[in-house]
Amino acid sequence: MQDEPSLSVMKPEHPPKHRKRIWRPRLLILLIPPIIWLSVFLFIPYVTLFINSFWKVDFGTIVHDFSFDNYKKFFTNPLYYGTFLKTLRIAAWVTFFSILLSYPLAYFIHFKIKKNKQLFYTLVIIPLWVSYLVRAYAWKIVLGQDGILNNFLLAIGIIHKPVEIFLYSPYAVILALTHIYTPWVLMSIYTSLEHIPRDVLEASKDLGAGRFRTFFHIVIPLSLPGVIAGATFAFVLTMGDFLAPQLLGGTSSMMVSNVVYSLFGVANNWPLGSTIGIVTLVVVLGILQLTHRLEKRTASFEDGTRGR
Amino acid sequence: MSRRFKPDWVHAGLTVTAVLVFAFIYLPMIVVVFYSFSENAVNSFPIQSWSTKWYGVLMHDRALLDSFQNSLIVAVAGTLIGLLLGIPAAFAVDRFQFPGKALFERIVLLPMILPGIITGVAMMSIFVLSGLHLSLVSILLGHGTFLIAIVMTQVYARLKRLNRSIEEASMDLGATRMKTFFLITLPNIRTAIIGASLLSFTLSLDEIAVSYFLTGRDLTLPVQIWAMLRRGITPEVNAISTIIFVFSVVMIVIVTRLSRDKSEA
Amino acid sequence: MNTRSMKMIVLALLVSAFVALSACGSKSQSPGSSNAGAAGKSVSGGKTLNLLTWEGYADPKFVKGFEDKFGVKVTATYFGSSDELVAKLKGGGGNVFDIISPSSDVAAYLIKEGLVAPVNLEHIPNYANLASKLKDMVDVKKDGKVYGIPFTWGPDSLIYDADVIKTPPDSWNVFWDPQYKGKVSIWDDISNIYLIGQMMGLDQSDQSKVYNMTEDQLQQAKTKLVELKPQIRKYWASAGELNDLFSNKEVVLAVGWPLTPTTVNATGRHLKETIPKEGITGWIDRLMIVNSSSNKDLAETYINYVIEESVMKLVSDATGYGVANINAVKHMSPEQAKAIHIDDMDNYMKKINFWQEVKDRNRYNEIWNEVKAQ
Repeated sequence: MQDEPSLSVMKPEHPPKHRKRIWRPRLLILLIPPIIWLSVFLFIPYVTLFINSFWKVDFGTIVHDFSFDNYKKFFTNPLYYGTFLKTLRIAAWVTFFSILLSYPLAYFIHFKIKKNKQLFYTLVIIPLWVSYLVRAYAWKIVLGQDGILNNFLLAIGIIHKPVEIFLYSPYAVILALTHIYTPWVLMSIYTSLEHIPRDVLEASKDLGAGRFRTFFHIVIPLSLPGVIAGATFAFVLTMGDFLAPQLLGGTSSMMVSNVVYSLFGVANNWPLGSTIGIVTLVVVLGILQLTHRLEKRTASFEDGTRGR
Repeated sequence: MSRRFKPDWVHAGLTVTAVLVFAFIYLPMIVVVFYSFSENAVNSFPIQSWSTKWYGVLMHDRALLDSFQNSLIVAVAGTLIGLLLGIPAAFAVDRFQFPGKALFERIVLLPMILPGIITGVAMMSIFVLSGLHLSLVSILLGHGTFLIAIVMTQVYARLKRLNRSIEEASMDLGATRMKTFFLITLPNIRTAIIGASLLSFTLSLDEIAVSYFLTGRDLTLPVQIWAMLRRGITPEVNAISTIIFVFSVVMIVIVTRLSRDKSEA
Repeated sequence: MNTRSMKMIVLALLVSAFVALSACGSKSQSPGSSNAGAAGKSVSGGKTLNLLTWEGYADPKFVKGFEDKFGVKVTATYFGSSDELVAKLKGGGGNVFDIISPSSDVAAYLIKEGLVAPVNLEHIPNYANLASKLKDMVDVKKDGKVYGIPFTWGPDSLIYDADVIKTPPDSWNVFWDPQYKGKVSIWDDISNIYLIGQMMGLDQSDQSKVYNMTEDQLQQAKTKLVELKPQIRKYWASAGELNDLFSNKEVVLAVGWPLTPTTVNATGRHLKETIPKEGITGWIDRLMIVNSSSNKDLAETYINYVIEESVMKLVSDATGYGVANINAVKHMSPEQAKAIHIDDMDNYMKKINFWQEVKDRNRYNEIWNEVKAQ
């Protein structure tokens, strides 16, 4: 993460040899408290987690006996790696649907609404401020056997007996998480749409491009950084979710965080829980690094278009 | 584009999609608000009879009120920690060049994006190893860590746009660094600080993944609601959710007002 | 500019006033709670007693009397399974609770781990009136000291909705009946493995066999539980959730505790419980004092209070569980006595295989997680 080749490419000039003025006392005063705090409450906990992942548990007690057994277990027992892969799949679906839903709305608000644009935007992001639990739990009322959706479908005659699959299924989990992360994705897409200079669109039109061509060749590429940022957010946060599966999931909706939750909160197997935590952490950092680069690449494309 | 006389199907389709997505975003919350006024303890459809009794029950639920109080304490103190450490961090990043700056920026932001459950179990591990009690303090330390990131991003964004020449002018006119900071810089970033505080406050009030693992016996509001959901006490949850919803809307209206001031300034 | 900053100051003031008011407001609701709890100190000055119990074990119906009588505040945190209790005690929660209510499957383990303290029976005169069958159990005794005071007991019986299922099921096999696909709920707990063990007939000769199954038997149990999955609507995490599932007509069959019919039938439904021919498991919950508690005397006072015969009647009212004090029957109607089987305790208990310590709990948990992950 530290050594980033693209970064050094961007600033070719090497730092000056004598940088004695760099650590000025004022800077240290500003910097030291946050650094101490983050070392104690961020860095040390993760290191502890990493160390714990090499111990094992015998009859409910942690034994300090260094081994890679937990990692071996993670990669050989389908309970662990299978659940992890399933989580990635669910996260991908949630990300996909969030983009699918938020892009048209963001586009509509930015390009089609003339009056009160700010108001509409605010209305869309208000849900971000509403309790996560409330938003997840609300679906229980909508999707239940005797819930609103079933009663509605019964009333208009599409179904003849209540459908069970709505609630307590992986679909319910994907639906609720999509609902929760759509405003986040929308916010980030909207911001990137805002940054598209109007004259680029005008130029495209003047050069005879239809609106579809303009959309696919100008708007989509230029809004990609926002899509990527929003997608990263939805993906990573879904990976860490353990409440929605427990609240809305069925018998097979366990996600990787539920396993971590269970190992720490129920089964009392901290070392194995730490192992899964570390694996998740590494994967998340990898995703962040990857999308960081992607964003940069698309952003430089943006600059290139602007320069043209 | 819109100056056409024949029906514009693309535009119509887009409008319909937008309205549907909008409905999707709001429907569940509206449902909760309606059900909080249902007299029946079971969330069945349609609502049989209306009542405000769950709000009354709420007001006498000691565990819930205690957890609300705990949440307020944590949110206020956590916001203070975020401000005390996040603002200096923002200044350091905005005003100085130092080795490892990019790394520092990204590490500060990590707790905001990393799955809360992992941060939660990692922090729990060190608290238990060091023999500290899990209490409101441990929750507070967990919250402070990610609130630093929130405050830093908000304040840094404002500092970047701040016109430095007025600070220079102030110092040219003989004001000390301190005086310039309090008379010039601070008033100019004040709305960003207030906005960051409100955002931190709300996020802390809603945080659950980290809190869940750092909770001793004093629960915060979301952890208490979670326990209630698991125990199936749903009508009361509808009522408290409605209150939180209204509270959130009020908060965001305040913040939007502040950010509008910002864009006018 | 001026009006704007004025507005902002007013808003900021309003918010802080709201915060301050609500903080004071809820504080005045609970005069007993000093800020000690809020500040995270475990020293509560002998005024607060902290329980970590199963749901319903701190019901105001009986706790209120203690609070009023002794001027003490009782707070309760609930756990949803025995494993959750152990995890909480070991995970830093150990030094913030005074009294816990473990079931017979982990009681011995807690003593072995030194997490609980022996009880001074001289401070618990009401101990004499508890059912001797419960007192005689050896798992909470060590070196002549008693660590657990029997509180309640009950079965994990088969609960069914009598409005839907007219003939009482006589076997657990009804859970696998395609007719009830998606209408069954079982507990999110390793106790399901005991149940399969009973169906396999393991406990015919030796009751402890279902708690110490071999790897082969565990794999068989896993297969059987995986086969059950399509039948399951939801694994319930708490008794309250199961009540909800029955109330919302999501399920018609479940493994559950007497609390569920008691609660749900109060709203006009007809749930019934039955003992299938394969037998059922059951639990005995004891009150124990956490070793690191600084309120041990107060904890003993509470335990003595709560097992007093008239209070035990209230406990039964609130939970619908069997209570340990046989004299409580004097305060009950014949119906209530029959419902909790206190009138025929010895006979009824013979039908139950009470939970025992599971040596390899880790493996049981892993099997259960594997079932859920399939």
